[in-house]
Amino acid sequence: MHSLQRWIQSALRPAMYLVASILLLTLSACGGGSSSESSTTPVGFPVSVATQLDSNVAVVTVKRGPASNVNIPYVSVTVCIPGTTSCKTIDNVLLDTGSTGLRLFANDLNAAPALALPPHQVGSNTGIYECAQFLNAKAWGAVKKADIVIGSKRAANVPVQLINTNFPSALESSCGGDLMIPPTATAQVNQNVLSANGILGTGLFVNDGQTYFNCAGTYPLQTCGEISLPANQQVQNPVALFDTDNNGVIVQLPALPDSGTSSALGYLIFGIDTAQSNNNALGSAHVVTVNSMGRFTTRYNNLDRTDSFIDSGSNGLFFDDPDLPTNCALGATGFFCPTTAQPLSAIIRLNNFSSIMVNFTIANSDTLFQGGRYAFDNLGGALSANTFDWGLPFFFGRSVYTAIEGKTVGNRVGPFYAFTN
Amino acid sequence: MQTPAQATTRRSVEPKGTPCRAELPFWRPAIWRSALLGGLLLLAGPTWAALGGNLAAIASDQQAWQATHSTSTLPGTSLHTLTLPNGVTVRQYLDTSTDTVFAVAWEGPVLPDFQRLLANQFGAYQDAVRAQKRGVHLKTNDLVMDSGGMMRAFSGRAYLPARLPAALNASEIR
Repeated sequence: MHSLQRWIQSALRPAMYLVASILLLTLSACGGGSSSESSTTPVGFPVSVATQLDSNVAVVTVKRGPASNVNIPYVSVTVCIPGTTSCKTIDNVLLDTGSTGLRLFANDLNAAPALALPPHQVGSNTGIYECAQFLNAKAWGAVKKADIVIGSKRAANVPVQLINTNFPSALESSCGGDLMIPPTATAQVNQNVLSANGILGTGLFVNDGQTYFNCAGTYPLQTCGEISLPANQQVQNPVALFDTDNNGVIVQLPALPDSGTSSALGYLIFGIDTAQSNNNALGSAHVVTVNSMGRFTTRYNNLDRTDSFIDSGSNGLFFDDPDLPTNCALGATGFFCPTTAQPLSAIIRLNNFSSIMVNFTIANSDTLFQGGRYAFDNLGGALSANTFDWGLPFFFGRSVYTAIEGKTVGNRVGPFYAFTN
Repeated sequence: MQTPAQATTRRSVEPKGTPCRAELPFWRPAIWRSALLGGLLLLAGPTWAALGGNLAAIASDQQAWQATHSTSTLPGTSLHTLTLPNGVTVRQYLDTSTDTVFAVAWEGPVLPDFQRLLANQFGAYQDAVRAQKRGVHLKTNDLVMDSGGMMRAFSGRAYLPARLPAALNASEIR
C-alpha cells in the first residue's frame, strides 16, 4: 500500500501503499478519465493454465476504481460473521502484496445492510484496537473477527481491522503520523483516500507486527493502553489461514500496450506448487531470496538498492534517478515524465550467487494520463536512493509469486518472492 | 493535449472539467499543525531532543522508550543503539567533541516516534511526508533524511549535514 499507499482525491496518484507498502502516488490534478478517453481495448486475462473457475483463483481487475487512481489492482472480498452465512461482499478492495491482513472501512460495514462483526478478544483485552502504519499515514480502528472469503477459499475466524477516524490523540507518541482517513470521513472520502474500499494484504508475512491497544469507554472519552499481542492474535494474512493453498499467492496480469489500457484482467492464485492445485507451479520462475525484513538488493545505475521489494500496492516503479524529471505538467507529483520513453534495466540479486537483469520502460506520465487509461506497465516515480520498489508495472506480463514466511514451497521455505521474466 | 503514441480514435466519454479537488481536507496543514503545536507544548523540554540533543537526552529517550541501550565507536562518534520493546531499533550518532547527536537511524516493524526522534526537524519531516506521499527523501542544508520501507520493514536515517564530523562519512549512518 506502500502501499500504503492514496492520498489525493484527484484522478491519478502514484500509489505506494506501504503498509507495508502501499505506495500509492497520487496525481494532484484532474487527469485521466475526466476529460476524454481513447478507445482503448480492455486487456483480458493473460495466457495461463489457471482459469477464473479454479477453486484457488480470484479475479483481479486493474481499472478505473472508486477514485480514478491508476494501476490499482482490485479484488472482491466477502467477510462473514464467523461460522455463519451472515456476510457482506466488499468490491474494489486493493490487493496489496506489500502488507499483511484485511482492512476495511468501518462505515462500509455499518452501512445497510449492516454486518456487525464480533470483537477480537484476547484474555482480559476485550476492546482491542490497532494502529497500522503505512509510510505516510496510519490506519486506526477496532480489531474484529471475521471469516474471509475470496473466490471460493475461506479463512475462518481471522482478526481484521475496521478503519475509523477516532484516533485518541493521547496515543500519538505510540503511533505517529496523519490518519489515513480524516475525522469527517464518509464512504466517499474513504474511497478517495485509498482509491479503494479496503486493503487485502497478502504479503510475505503471516502477522502484521503493528501496534495494538486495549481501550475502554467511548471515543472521545476513551482510555487506551498499549498491549503486546502474540503473532497469531494480530491481524493475519488470510491466505496463511486457508485450509489448503495457504503458502503464498501468485499474481498474473497480462502484458500491456505501451500506451496503457483502460482496464486489465488477471488472476490471484492461492498457493504455490501445492499438491491440491495444478495451476500454481513455481516452475522456472526466478526465486528472490529476501532478508528478515523481506528485502532484497536491486542494482540500478551502478548503485545497490538494498531495501528493494516487490509490491502490487505500489502503483508505479519507484526508485531514485536524478536524470528522470518529475516536474510533470499534469501535477502527478513524484511520477517521472521524461520527454521520450526511456528503456532501462536493473539487476535483481536473486541470492548470493546469481542475479538477473530486468528490462523496463519509464514513459512520460503526462502522456500516459491523457487517454482515460488506468493500467500501465511503464509508469514510474521518485523514491529514496536505497530502495527499488517494483510496483504494479512489474506485474504486467509476468507471474509474480509471494511466498509466506514459515511456509513450505517444495524444498524451499518462505518468505521469498519469485517472478517469471 | 498531446497525441498519444498510438493513433487511436478519441471520443468524449465524460463531461470535461470534472471538479478537481486537489487534496482531502485532512491533508490540509491547518488541522494537523494545531494538533502538533499542542504536542510540542506538552513535550518541550531540555532532555527531549534526539536529533540535535546530547548524551543526557539519549538516556532520557532510553527511559521514555523503555529501551535497551548499547554503545559502540565510530570515527569521532559514539554510536548509541536503543532497542525498543516493539522491535524498533534506533541508532543515535553522538559527536563526542560537541556532545551533540548529529544523526539518527531507525529500523523496525513500525515507524519510530518521529516527533521525539527528529525534535526540531519534525516540522520539516511533516511537510515532506505530506508533500511526497510515499516516504521521505529530503536533502536541504539543514536536514538530510530518507524514510522508507513498508509494514514490518520500515527504515531510514536523518542527519544534520552541518554537524557531521569531518572524520565520519555520511554513508556510515544507516
